[in-house]
Amino acid sequence: MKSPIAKVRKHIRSNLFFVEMIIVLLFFSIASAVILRSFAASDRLAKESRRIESMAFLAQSAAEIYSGTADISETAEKLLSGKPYTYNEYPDGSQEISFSMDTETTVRLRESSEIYAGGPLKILEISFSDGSGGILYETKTGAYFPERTVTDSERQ
Amino acid sequence: MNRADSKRLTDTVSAAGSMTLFLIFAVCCLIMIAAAASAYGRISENYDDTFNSAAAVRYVTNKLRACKGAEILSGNELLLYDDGYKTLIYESGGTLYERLLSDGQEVSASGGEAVFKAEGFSVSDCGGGLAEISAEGSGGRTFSAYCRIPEGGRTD
Repeated sequence: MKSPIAKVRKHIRSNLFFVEMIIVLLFFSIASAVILRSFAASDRLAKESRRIESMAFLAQSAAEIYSGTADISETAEKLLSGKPYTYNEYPDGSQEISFSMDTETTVRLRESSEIYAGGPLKILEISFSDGSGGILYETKTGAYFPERTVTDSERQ
Repeated sequence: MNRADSKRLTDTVSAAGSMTLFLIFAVCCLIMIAAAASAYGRISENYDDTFNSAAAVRYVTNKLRACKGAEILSGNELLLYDDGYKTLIYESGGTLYERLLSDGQEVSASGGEAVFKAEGFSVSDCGGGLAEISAEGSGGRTFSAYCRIPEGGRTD
């Protein structure tokens, strides 16, 4: 037969274990909340870095193609290799092509030209925007063809 | 219910509660470890891509821009011409190698210095003086960039 003292000790030990577990879980939940925030931030940064990398590669390729062709449609055709894009022409003579790079990013290529006596200097603006329309990254490239004659439409 | 039965019930509930809390703690630990492993995997994958495949593509495009002339020998061999020497860049077994050759030296894709880890590295002529350089990253991601091929520099 167990003594009353042993029974009381066992009861106290059981309660202490219960209290200890509650304290451990409390600390664990606080620590995990902090760690989960860090994980979410690192995940977001990794995604952002991937997106910026893709944008830089795409912008570089567009600039390389355009510097040789000086034609926005040809640039888009080569860059997208048959994927769909939207083409717009503005009253000031500038042309714009836009397409989706991924679910969140839209790419906009806008071509304008400056006419000089020697020939046209064509400028391509490459910009990347997110769903809300905010610019994520933009760059500009130009192509100058002194041997090319200036067409009437370009002069206008 | 007498006092002894009530005490036994209290002890049982306390023990069961402690065990449940311990189980919750163990499950939470497992979830946290899984989340940490997943976050680490993503960061590591991104790091590998940035410092291997993407860096290899950037390295080759920069070399291509800096040289006097270039020739695509095969799908994974590129020969760059400079004053008095040539540089052969080739991929073998998932690694990108670079080999310096003097003018007149036989060109062979061996004995080069390993530069990057680049699975599926390929270089192709896209016409119009453009080359497409691409490499496969982890998770099936492909890094690809267009670059203009310089036309001069060839001595043989």
